[in-house]
Amino acid sequence: MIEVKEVSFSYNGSKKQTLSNMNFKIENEESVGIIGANGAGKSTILKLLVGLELSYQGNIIINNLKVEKQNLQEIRQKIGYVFQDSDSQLFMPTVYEDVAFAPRNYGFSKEEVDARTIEALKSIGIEELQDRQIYRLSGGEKKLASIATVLSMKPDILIFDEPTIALDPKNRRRFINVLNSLKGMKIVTSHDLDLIYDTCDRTILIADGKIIFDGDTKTILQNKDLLENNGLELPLSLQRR
Amino acid sequence: MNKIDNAIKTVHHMDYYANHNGYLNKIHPLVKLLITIIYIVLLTSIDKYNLVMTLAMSIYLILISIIGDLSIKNALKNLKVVLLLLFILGIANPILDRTIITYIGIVPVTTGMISMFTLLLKGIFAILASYFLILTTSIEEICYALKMIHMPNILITVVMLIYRYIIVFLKEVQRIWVAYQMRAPKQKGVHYKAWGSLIGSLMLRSIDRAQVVYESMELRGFNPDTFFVKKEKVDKKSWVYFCLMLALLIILRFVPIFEIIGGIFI
Repeated sequence: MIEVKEVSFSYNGSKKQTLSNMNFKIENEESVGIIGANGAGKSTILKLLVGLELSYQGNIIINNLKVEKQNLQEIRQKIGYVFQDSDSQLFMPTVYEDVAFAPRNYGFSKEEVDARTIEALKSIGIEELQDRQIYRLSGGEKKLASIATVLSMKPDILIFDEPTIALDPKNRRRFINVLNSLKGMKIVTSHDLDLIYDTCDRTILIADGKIIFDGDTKTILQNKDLLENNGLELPLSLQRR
Repeated sequence: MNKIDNAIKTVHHMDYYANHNGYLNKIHPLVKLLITIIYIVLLTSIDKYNLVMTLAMSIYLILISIIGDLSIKNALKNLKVVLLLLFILGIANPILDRTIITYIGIVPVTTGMISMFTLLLKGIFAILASYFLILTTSIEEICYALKMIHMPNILITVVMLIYRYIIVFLKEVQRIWVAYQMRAPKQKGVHYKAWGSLIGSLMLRSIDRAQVVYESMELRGFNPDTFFVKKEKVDKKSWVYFCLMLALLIILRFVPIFEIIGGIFI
């Protein structure tokens, strides 16, 4: 479970608060979308959750552990963070090496590393890519490989930052199917409201670092006025109706 | 543009080779690192006028290229810029050291010329040996071997990250170059007035990208203090390889092989 209590945050040297007095709880097995216009603070929340920024005020508790320096290793082992830009996430020469990177770092035996890597690749249907060099992958394959790199950690929580950017419709659909098939807590930030509509039961709308709405995805994504007042639009699939 | 593309491909190619399943890849990284270091030390210890013995040291490289299925020709092609630099470094020798030792036909051969060729060969061989090490050992394994010889963690981390960031840097160069060319199609190269801003933005973007790559590594458990500690023992095959190669290097360095072979025929 994730608990965010009274969390405020500003980047170094900035007087403006990027996040202000945030409160929310996410239960295990929940799929939550975080939406908001550019600069609303979506990516910042994610960075705080995984401890990439530690100078926040308030409390962030993940599976009973406060996000602070001494707990980072344990917390990060429970969280799989898929970056917006797959090129930054994939830095090893081959898909296999990249997927095996995390289990190796956590000190698993050679057999366990191999088992986890193959399992992660199979779970999203890209085991045939395991020997492929990263730079030879298409955008869609890179995104799937990025997911595999965190699945090999067997995390309790999966975080996706703008996952469908640069994906064509076919790969986007494939990604959505993969996302829906994954178990555990999922947090997705995106401008792609159709993606949120298809994958998340609950949505948090933020603007200027504050939570504007937190509730059922269908309720919020059908509320044209609320979305437009916060720099967003109805999902395309609902605009056509 | 092609040059940047080629550079990126070369780094990927080297990475791919290093993770290949060849015979040399299976040798323990510490053994390969030590043999390479010993080779370079023995090579550089050869007298600057001893061209024949320097040439004999190439036997090790030929052997490695055969065992590892590596192309010396391709290696030299990839290293041509460094070779040019070596040539520039050695060019002063024939000018400063003009003692004539013999004639080939009517062309005088000076000690400066000999020392230039020796220096050139030593440079080429040392670089080739390091290049073959990189081609048969992944950067993580090299770092692990460096850790085993008690190199400080901070230096090992720097070595590893520099290698990883080369790609990040090259890709940023590629993006900036394409963006520039699209808006300055008639311009050959980059106009000097744009150098400052292009280099500035290249630096900033590379730092940002490198930061994200590092974050991605950190989030998947990367810790410089523990990353390189694998505690894999040197296996029997690697010991045999080490002993054989060490023996070969000692013979090449201290026994005048070419002279002995020449003596058989004369």
